[in-house]
Amino acid sequence: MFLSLKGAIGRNPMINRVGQRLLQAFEGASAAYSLRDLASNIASVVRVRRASDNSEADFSAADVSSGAMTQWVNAQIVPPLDVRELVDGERTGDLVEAAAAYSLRNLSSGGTSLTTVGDTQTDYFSFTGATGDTAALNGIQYEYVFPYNGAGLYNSAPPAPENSQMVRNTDGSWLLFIAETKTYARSTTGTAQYPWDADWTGTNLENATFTQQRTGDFVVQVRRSSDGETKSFTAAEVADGTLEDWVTDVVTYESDFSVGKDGWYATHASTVIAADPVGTDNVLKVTVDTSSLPKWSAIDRLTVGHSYSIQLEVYVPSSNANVDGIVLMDGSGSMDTSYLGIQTDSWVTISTTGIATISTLSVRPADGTRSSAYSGFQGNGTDHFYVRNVQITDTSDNGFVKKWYDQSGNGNHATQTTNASQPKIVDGGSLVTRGGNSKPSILFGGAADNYLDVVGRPLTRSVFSTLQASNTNFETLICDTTDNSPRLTTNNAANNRAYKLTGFGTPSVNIDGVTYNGTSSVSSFGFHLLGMTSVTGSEIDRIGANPAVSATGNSFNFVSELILYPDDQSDNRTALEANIGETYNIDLPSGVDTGYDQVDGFVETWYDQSGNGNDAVQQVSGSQPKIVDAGVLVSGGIDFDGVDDRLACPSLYSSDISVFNVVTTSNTVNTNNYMRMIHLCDGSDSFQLTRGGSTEIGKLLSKNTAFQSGTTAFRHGDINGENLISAITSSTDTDAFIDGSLQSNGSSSLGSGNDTYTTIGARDDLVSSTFFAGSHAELIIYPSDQSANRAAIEANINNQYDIY
Amino acid sequence: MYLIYETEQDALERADEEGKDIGYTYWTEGRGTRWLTKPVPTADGKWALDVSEYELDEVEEATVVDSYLIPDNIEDII
Repeated sequence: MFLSLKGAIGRNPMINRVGQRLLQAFEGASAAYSLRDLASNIASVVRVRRASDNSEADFSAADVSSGAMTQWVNAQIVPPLDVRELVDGERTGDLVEAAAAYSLRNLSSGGTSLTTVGDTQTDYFSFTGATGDTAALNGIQYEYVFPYNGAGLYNSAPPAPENSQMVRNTDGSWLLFIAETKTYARSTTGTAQYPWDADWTGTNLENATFTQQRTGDFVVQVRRSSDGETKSFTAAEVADGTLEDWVTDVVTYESDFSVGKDGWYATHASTVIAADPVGTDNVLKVTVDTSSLPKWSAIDRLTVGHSYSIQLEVYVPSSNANVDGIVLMDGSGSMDTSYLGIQTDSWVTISTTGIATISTLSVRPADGTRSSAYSGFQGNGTDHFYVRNVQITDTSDNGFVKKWYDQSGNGNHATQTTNASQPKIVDGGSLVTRGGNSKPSILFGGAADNYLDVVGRPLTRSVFSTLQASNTNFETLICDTTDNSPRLTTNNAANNRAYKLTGFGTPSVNIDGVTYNGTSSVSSFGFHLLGMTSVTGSEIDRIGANPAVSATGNSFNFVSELILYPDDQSDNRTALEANIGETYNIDLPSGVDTGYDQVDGFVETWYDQSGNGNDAVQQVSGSQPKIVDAGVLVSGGIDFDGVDDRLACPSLYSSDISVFNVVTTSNTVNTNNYMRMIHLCDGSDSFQLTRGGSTEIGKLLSKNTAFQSGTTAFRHGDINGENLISAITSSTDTDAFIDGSLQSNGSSSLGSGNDTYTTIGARDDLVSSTFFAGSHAELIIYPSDQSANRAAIEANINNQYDIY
Repeated sequence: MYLIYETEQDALERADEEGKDIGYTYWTEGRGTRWLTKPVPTADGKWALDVSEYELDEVEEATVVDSYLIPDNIEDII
């Protein structure tokens, strides 16, 4: 049926107009796979997994042709602390050891196991009840047993899983221990045992502060502004939002009226714990006095200057003579929300927000007007209201760096115990980030004097850092506070605020992998990679400011990573810069030796460019075809190994099918069976393009079960090397072309299954000896007879690949 | 080496476990590569998982098999 059309190509209109890509000139494809653009506005042509770390990314045709995809596959993923010395051109020597290494990512693949010191958790743990009362601490319920040494003795209740006890010593110190043998914490020594270190005062346990010790791959210790608590975080916790969540929207108080007033008091009113007027739990009952003064119930749980979101529930009885509204405010009225004429005889949620100007949160009854809550009203001694479910959320949302952990193993942690001088890592609820890929960073503040001190004084001769200056004088990255030398800083305005490197002799300085000219303003670089190597240098003890912190010692604005080496790292510079540049998406110059250039890249998705979403996918890593082989782009497109590689996409079988396939095979490859280039199936019928193995080796074969039952199939001509195969089949016949030449249809035998999807690179039922050994560069499928366009489509393809 | 499972679901759970341990992007980014290997049906109605490159525990090591029965297919004429 198609033969009559073949000679018509000369009469075809010129539809492949300038500027049109193949799928625009020849519309209607059901699927189209290539590593070039077959249509306009194709975002990605392929998704690739690199074997080095199993990362995946999407790439455009331009990325493939420009080498960007191959460069990504070969990226230097060895982090700085895992880089080894060069031995005979290979990085097989000793680890390159740093004097100190600071980052918010892991600088070695193994991480650095660190024990935190100073992480705190304030639990406001109160235990002032009577014998038999209970309270929970860290998931353990404690019961007041009896007085002991003048204070309560508390036992875990029930004792399982651990029988722990809190007691007061005769000297007033506290002990928390397990089974009378192992001390958890001792208030007088401050020595952490397991798992808490506590500092308790008084005769009861109130507002206890615990210092938690943990061990992990920590990179930073953070103080949150909401309540001053301090906690250490791993790189993963910084990246996945755990740190940000911990800093933001901290609930600093939730009422618990089960055993007492929970710190609430009253003025010109009285408070008692009472049964919920409609429920079963205890709530706070507030009754006005008989004076004409303003009345309130309050709790001192706000921190001046902090932002808050406060919510609670109130219940105002309709039986009240005067009280018919509630005003919620901090004591000075900077937060002030009125609920006049409030609904009675039911719980009503009320709330307020704002910045606290004093520490008191008060709930005030009103008599008709808002001013009555401020100026007072005549109380009758009986009007009352109830309060429950009070929640105070600190929304200040700032996190400050108290300690930047040294990952080198040398213990040169950079610390700042003065709150006012701590750089910021969470600003207004958002993690501070820098760089094109928004990696976590630390904001020291260009005009501020924030800094971290390094008591261990690491010897520094080479420095690698990702950072960003603002545009002020002497923004200091590192210095020695004893004599200000060495010192790495920006210069003053008279010197263009260029890098100023004092005490490093004559260093070699790179900016983003390129030799620094010595004069450009540092601020002009934006976020950048500084690489400085030198044979000269000495110890430093400060990051972020020089000794004169209040005068000329501005801080470097942002620092994301800082690695100090005790020796000249000129030989390792490119390995270090390549990894840092890769991590922070810094555009390094081409030719920078990644030192990791023999990586394989595999195709996870070959994107369908037809617009039908029939992407060819392989989620099993071991069955993914290869696109980069040992660091080099596969020349013939996508390589299938003939063992188990294949891609799958939805069924593309139809009564009429036209397939155009640029494929590379070799007659030296003999898989002892018939290799399937593609097998289109719909569960009932299928069409396959196949190459012969030991039998009919190198022959192109096809089979359409619509008219070829059992093992009946066609044998066509020879394929070897790169060929363009075109096949146009229907429910009655198949025409096959190799490099534009119509092939004869001899007899052969092929099997098939009855799956419902299309397989590229194997028979549909994945029989082991049917996998394709060779490469696909392009595969376009039309659910229609494209005989009329065949020659033009082939011309377009051949123009791209120059096959024949 | 293969582990044989009664159901595809059981085999997939083990394949998922390995994929998570490796850190494939399906488990870290929600899309992309998910498995190192995927179970295939056997001739006796079970599911075989190629665990040649898996980290196996002692119980699994004691139960691996070298082969499984492949279902009948329409073979090509070689």
